[in-house]
Amino acid sequence: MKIIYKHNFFSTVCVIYTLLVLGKLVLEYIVQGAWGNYQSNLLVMFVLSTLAVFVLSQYYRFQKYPLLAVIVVQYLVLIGGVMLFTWISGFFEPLHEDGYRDMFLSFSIPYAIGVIVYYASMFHEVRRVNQVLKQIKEEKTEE
Amino acid sequence: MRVSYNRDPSLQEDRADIHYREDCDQIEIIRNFFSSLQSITGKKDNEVCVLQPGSIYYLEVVDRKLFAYQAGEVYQLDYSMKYFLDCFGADGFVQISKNTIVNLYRVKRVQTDLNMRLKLILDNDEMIVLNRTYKKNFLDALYHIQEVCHENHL
Repeated sequence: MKIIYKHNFFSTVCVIYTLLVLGKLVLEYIVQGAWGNYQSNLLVMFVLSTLAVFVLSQYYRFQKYPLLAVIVVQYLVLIGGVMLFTWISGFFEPLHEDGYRDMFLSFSIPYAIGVIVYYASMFHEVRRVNQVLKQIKEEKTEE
Repeated sequence: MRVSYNRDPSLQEDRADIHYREDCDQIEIIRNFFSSLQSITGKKDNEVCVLQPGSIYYLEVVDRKLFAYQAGEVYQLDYSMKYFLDCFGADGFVQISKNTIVNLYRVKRVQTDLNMRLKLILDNDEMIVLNRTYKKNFLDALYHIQEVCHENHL
């Protein structure tokens, strides 16, 4: 039975890679007792990715609300989650004095880039739709 | 007039081609007959009128009743939205919100705003909003029509 197809190939690679990295972190902690910046950073990235995917997965629930409001509210929820996570992690290991600022920038810049790309793709799509509408009208007139 | 019937199960759709030398009464009757197959009836001020689907700009369900909007006239139809789409979906009609269907051939252009609401400007400059939930539906139908137009031109 074929279980890996073109459409799920990359996501399968991502899942296996994630499981291997998380397994390695746990194994290193159990066997060597190792827990430093390297392990923390990898775990933070996993938590942030999970949080971001969860919020994006809920996007369909907000279709009826204005997009700008959805983007802002999503951002506030996510940045709130990131700051909360940073604050909690401060109980387990000391935070760098620029820790909050770095986390803010690490999250906000990719989010802003994502929003810009989304808007640009939408405007591009609208331009393409208008070209198709014009083409259909011209062909209909010729008939 | 010579008439021939050809049964061909491999055809994608049933079709009738009329070959004629010049317009005459018989051709007019045939033309009216085929038009009547495509027409629908709508009510306005208790009068029943025959409508050509192509003349409809958009349809909207208000209080569970389906209304067809032409350039300046509004008619009530005795169809459900689903039935109308089943019958005339192939003629360029596509659902764009929970209670609205638009005739793609009557859309002049699309506009957007910061909220990424897609506004459809119709040939009569009326504006209706495309719900984001139905955007894919709209785009799929549009690109399908583009392909069909392209194939017909080849």
